[in-house]
Amino acid sequence: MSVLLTPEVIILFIEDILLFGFNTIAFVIAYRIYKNFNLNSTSNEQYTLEKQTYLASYIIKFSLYLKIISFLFFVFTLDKLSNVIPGAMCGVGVTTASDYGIYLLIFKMLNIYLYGFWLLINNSDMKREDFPFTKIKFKYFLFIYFFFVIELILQSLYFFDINPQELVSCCGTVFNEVSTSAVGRLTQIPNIISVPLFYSLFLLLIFTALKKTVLLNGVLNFVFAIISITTLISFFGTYIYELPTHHCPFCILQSDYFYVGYLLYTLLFVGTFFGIGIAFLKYLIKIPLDYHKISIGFNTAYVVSVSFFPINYYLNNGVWL
Amino acid sequence: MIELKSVDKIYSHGEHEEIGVLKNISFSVKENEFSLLTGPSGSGKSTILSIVGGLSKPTNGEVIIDNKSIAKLPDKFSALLRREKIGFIFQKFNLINNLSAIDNITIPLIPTKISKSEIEQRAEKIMTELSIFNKRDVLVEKLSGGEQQRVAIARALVNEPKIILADEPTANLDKKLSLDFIQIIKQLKDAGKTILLASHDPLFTDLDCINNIIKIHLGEIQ
Amino acid sequence: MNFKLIDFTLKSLKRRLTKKLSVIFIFSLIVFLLVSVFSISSSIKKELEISVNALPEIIVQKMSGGRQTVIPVDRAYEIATIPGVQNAYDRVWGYYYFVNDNVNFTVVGLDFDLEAYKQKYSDIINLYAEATDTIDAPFMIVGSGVYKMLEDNFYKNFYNFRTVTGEMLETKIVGSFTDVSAMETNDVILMPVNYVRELFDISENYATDIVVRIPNPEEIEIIKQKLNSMFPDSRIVSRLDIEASYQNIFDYKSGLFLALLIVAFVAFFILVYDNASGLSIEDRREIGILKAVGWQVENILQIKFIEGSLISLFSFFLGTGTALFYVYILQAPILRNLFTGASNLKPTFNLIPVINFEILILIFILTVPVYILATVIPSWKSSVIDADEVMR
Repeated sequence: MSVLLTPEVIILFIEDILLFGFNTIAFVIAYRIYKNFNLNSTSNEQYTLEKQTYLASYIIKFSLYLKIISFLFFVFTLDKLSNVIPGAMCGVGVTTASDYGIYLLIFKMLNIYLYGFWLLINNSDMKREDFPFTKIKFKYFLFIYFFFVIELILQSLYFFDINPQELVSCCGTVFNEVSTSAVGRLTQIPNIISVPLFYSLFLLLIFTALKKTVLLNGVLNFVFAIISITTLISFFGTYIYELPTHHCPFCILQSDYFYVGYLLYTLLFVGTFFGIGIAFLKYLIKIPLDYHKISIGFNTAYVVSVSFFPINYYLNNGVWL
Repeated sequence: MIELKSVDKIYSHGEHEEIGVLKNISFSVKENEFSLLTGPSGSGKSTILSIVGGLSKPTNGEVIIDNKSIAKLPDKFSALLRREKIGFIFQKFNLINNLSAIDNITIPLIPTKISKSEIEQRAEKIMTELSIFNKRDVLVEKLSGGEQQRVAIARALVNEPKIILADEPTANLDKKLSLDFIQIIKQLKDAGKTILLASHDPLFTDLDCINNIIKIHLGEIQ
Repeated sequence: MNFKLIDFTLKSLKRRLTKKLSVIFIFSLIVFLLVSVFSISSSIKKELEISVNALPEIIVQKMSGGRQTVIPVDRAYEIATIPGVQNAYDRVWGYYYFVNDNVNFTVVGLDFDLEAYKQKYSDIINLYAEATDTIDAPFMIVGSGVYKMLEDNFYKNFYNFRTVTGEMLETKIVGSFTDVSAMETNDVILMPVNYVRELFDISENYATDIVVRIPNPEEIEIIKQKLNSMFPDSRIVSRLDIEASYQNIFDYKSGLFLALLIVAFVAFFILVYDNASGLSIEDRREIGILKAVGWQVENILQIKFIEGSLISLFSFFLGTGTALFYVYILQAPILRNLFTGASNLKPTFNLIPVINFEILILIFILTVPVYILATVIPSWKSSVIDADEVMR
């Protein structure tokens, strides 16, 4: 049998099928609210809708939490599957075992951002007595639901596409000089350009956050997230591995490196999430939210922790890699 | 403090059947006034109280509590209003039987940010005033009717409300306990509370502390 | 998180504990089964890893008509000359059927003066060297399982084997041995090779099979192919083949369990849903009271969520705790037979305690969020009970 049905994969599917069922309920409610919600009406229908908003919100909130847990579990599963798939030494190899892998990973991350933004709108909405954003937040959820469905389809395609007998290439080749994949190419930007870019972007981020130029700050946060990951692969990672040729975003999640990857990714996620979130909400519901401090705090923590490795290496060995 | 303007309440069952419970109710209760709602059972007194307390919404009309319109306020915020401004005393006491007296009294403040010790201090102070402090940890189902009502009153007061709503408070009490209750309600008025009480008990009608009497019959003010 | 809410939920749970007992019981039972099954299988895997590592790299068996037959001893010398082969030994061994208990013992012939092909056996030989040096008659050293079985049948000092020709072979029991990986050695009897030949009627020039030692694992496959062409009448089994076949059996069996448990899970989901939605008049009244005194829908959802978390965490730890106790302290009676087969071939062995946190995390993720998900709709239903219910 070539399909990869390990207990981990089965569990991922069970949770996703359950989430799909519940999100579909939320979708139906969201659609009704988007069509008929009217706080000025005293009809029974309005009253029922008001009650249903709580169910939909509860489901969406729960989905976000479960999605975060299951994302961590997914990454963990990828790492574990690297024992089964020939050639794979970490999650990179497992991801590239199917063409859908990289898209699945991107969609999984994207959806956590999207669900999180929903929660931000919800929080502002529930604080106001006239529920000004109820319609728009559920309209926005209609859109998130499709992203969720795409993720689910990608996941099925991905796991059924992996052939455990086929040799895959892992981080050693995916991120090396002759790589042709889009992600691989991004990491080919020479460090002499990308590392200064990373730091100057960070300074710009702080500047725009302090100036509260929200939209620009949001866009910069997005770019910062991408540059952070590529420089982590091409530059900072090599100092964590203490090996100039080891370019990998996954191996830092392993116990050999004290799971430091989980810390780094969490800092980066929280920082950029709030940065992008503020801009996103300003555009969507036109209200300013003051999460700049959280964004700056976590982004700074990321930059500091990631810079620690090369500096520490230099102080100990007196040379750069 | 409390103002109702042409309030209607219609319950609809299914699509075509509608039952009118209240029709064109308008009255107001000023701050520190004690108003009595009277009328036979089923006349709509309880429905008025539940609308004033934001437990249910009027079909038409305007309800203003402490300068705030609540007729179309979502449940989330009418609950908040109750928590902050209203103390409710129910006919059947509505206590949770297998919890102790103190645990029943502190319930309204559990979802707030007030610390546990402060809530308990408040509750104990009220219990002392109502002379039920010695029943602090007794399960309410083991208390007598009069004690149960005092626990219910204490619960209504623990959030330090401006407004007290009471629904047939003496219906389950004998004469002596009813008179005790009247003493308590007088004290509350003296303490500056605004009181709206629904009862068909004749004991209330002659009280001198009552500012106005609103007679309800078949859902309308007479 | 509001600690007063947790406190309140605990009090309210205490009052309604009897209603939740069935859910707690079934939840714990499912966790118990999952943890037991996975622990047993990872323990057995561990055990097999130990024994597979002790296996020779290659075993050569002569086949005749599709069945194994005795192999000429001189082939061992031939094999030993192949480059890459460190050593090749001929082995004389077989199964002896022990009528009294309806089991098979594995009788292994050893030259008590030479080093054995298994490090383990050499250690045992050395251990009993003093006792065995002076004996002239047949003797044996037995695995602990065999020892116990013989003892139960009142064979304390000797046992009478019945040879293939029908004669009795009185054999002295010199001692017994145990090992970390008991599964493999439990049913083993070690005897001087000449007596084993007598017992199974195998002549001097023949052996049961030949084991081949190859120090470099990279060369196993190549040497295997070479042997295949040298001896077309033989079956060449490498350690990797054995490993793979064990692996398959266990993956298949734990997959089967998982499939069964998914079915159980659906039932569980329905049960939880049902239990959580079965609101009594008392429950409805209570929620009505809470809302009437100023609780918001969110607060009710919060206490329901806390309740679900408490119940599922408690049941999870209860199930895990009892399962680990059952597997490692009680040695998993009944369940382990499903894995090892009820066959009497391998009488007893101890499950090696390996607490696998990966598995616990796996089961946690499978059970706890699913439980809480199942309570989502019922919780919501109770949270939106009309507050004016208490006025009616």
